[in-house]
Amino acid sequence: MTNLLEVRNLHASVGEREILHGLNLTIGAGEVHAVMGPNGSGKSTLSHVLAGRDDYEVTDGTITLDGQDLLELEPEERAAAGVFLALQYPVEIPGVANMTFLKAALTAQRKARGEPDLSTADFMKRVRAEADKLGISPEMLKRPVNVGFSGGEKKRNEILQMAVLSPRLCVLDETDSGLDIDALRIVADGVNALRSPERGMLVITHYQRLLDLIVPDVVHVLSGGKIVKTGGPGLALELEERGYAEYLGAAAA
Amino acid sequence: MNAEMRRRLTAAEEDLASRVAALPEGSDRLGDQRRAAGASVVATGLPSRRVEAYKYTDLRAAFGALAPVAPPADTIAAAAAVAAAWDWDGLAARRIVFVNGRFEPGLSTLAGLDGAVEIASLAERARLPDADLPIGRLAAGNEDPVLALNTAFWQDGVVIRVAAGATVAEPIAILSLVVADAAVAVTTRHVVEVGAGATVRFLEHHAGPAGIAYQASGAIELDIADGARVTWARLQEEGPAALHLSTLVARLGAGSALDRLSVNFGAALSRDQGFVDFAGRDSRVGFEAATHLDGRRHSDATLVMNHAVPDCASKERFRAVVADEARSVVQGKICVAPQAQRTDGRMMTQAILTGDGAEAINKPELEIFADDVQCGHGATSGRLDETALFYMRTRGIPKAVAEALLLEAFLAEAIEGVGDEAIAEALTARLRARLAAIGGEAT
Ligand SMILES: Nc1ncnc2c1ncn2[C@@H]1O[C@H](COP(=O)(O)OP(=O)(O)OP(=O)(O)O)[C@@H](O)[C@H]1O
Ligand SMILES: [Mg+2]
Repeated sequence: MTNLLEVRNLHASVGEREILHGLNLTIGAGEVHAVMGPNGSGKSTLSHVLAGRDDYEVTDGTITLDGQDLLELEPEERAAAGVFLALQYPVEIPGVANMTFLKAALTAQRKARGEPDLSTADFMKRVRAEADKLGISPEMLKRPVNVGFSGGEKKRNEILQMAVLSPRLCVLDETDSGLDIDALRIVADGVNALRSPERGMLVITHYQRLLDLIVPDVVHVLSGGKIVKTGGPGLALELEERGYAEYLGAAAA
Repeated sequence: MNAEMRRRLTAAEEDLASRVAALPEGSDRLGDQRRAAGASVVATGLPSRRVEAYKYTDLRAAFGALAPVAPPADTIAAAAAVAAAWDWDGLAARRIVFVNGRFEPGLSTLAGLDGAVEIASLAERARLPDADLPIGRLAAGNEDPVLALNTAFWQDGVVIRVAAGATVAEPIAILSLVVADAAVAVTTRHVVEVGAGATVRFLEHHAGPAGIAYQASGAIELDIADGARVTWARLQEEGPAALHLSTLVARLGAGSALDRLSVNFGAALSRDQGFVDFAGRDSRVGFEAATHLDGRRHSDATLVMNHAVPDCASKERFRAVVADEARSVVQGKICVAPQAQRTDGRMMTQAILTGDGAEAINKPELEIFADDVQCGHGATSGRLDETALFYMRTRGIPKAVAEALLLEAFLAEAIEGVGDEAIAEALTARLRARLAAIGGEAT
């Protein structure tokens, strides 16, 4: 099996401060990896660096997707290459309707990949179908992106974007936070529907309850800016019981 | 020696003095009006930054010289320019056309306009003996020098009367074009009287050649009778070297409404000034401005909202996107007379600066002499939201497209504020095209 995502010795800083200290991570096509770890350990930083946020400076290491150097690419080029980040805190965009936003995104990605644009009718059909599965009303599709959405609605909206854009690599940063029990199930169903042999997923979470629904192939512990432990689904259960105490030292070493 | 004689005249001011002296003699009211208005500007000089209302828009410095009055445009060139002019996506089918300051009946399309609308050329009326032109009725007492210059030198214009009680289905468009290959001056004056209870929409459009330093001046006196409802949308897209001066003097009777939108793409220097008087109770004014400036354009929006009577509401929203080294000036003044109780006056100025040398200046003024009022103003100025930009890019939207979408969204909110869906849609499309054209230049 070929590796979809390879992160090697990744060092990333904000300003003077280094947050990721030589992180290694490999995700094969078709795999779902969970990343858990204490607050402030660098999980969101990793997700932002993958997406290409320029506040974070990569000082060393490599990131490749299908062998292609991601660090060379702008955020929009990474998206066209298949990277999707569902944000921990989705952003509100006043005045830009959800539908307009999705259309602009899909059109741009298809154009970048040299694919023909979808007709408006086909596009609408696709969005409506996905929205319906996620319990997103047509009215919400007309509203400005995330403006006035509840926390849970914002998270569902992220999954809608993911479903419509159908990326190669899905990075979900605490998509479960702020979701009620029913919404959690809806979102997990949405994510599971996207599991496929070509697609990889990186699921960042604090809670086992999400991993009960989206069962990972591999679980990593990220602490102090490094992956300090990798195991099977059982590792998440262990963490649930024992916490991160035993890994806090490992990071410093 | 008096102060006036000591003031050094600029070339434009010397020219102005000789043009005022050359105004035709005669004892008619119109001639008197022209001469008095001209003399007032000669006496004070062109407004410089020492004049409070022109602090940020120094016309004395801006007018290198007065351009010669525009000759009539070549017939074929005029027809071609009119045919090529934007038709507001079909909304401007009934169109009054001015080319180089002259009414062009042959290029205008008035057929199909509601019979309740009467339209006549001012220049034609003025030639009739004992012409009783309504010019200056609303503007009486207004000493603004830009308005005075217009009063002194207007070439032509229209009188539009909308009959009481009429509902005019089709918007009435007024297109002012400049067709020239050298600097010229163009001056138009319109008088619009909307009868009691009438409902009507106007589309005002200004355009001219790029690269020519022409000088366009326009003034409109808009009289809105009791219970009438007026929507007035204006699109100013003069050439980047042009100088554009525009004045609106409006009066609202009781129970009436004015929704005014200005979409403004600037000029080398432009000023859009409004003087609005509430003359009857229970009336409402909405003033929306959506400005996009690039290059070194300087644009000034100045508004004086005069609440002279109780129970009226005014709401202004000025939004501007300022790129490159452009500058946007907003001067908004809300005056509330002692008797104008229960006035609701609100003003908001918001700017997004996208250029390193871009500047937004805001000068709000509240002059409130009544005690039972709700008045306020606010202002924001900043850069594009980086977080939103990153978010859009992570979805695959290229930076330039994401920026254009965010800027369009920002300005479209003001455009939609005019409350007319068809007009808002057309103008938003126009804005989108402009943003795309500018974005294309940048990349
Ligand atoms: N833009 C920034 N400026 C300054 N510090 C930052 C910035 N981004 C992240 N950090 C710091 O980097 C560290 C890692 O932050 P990050 O958001 O990646 O943690 P996390 O693992 O996602 O935590 P949580 O579980 O709370 O979401 C934190 O100490 C945080 O304060
Ligand atoms: Mg986080």
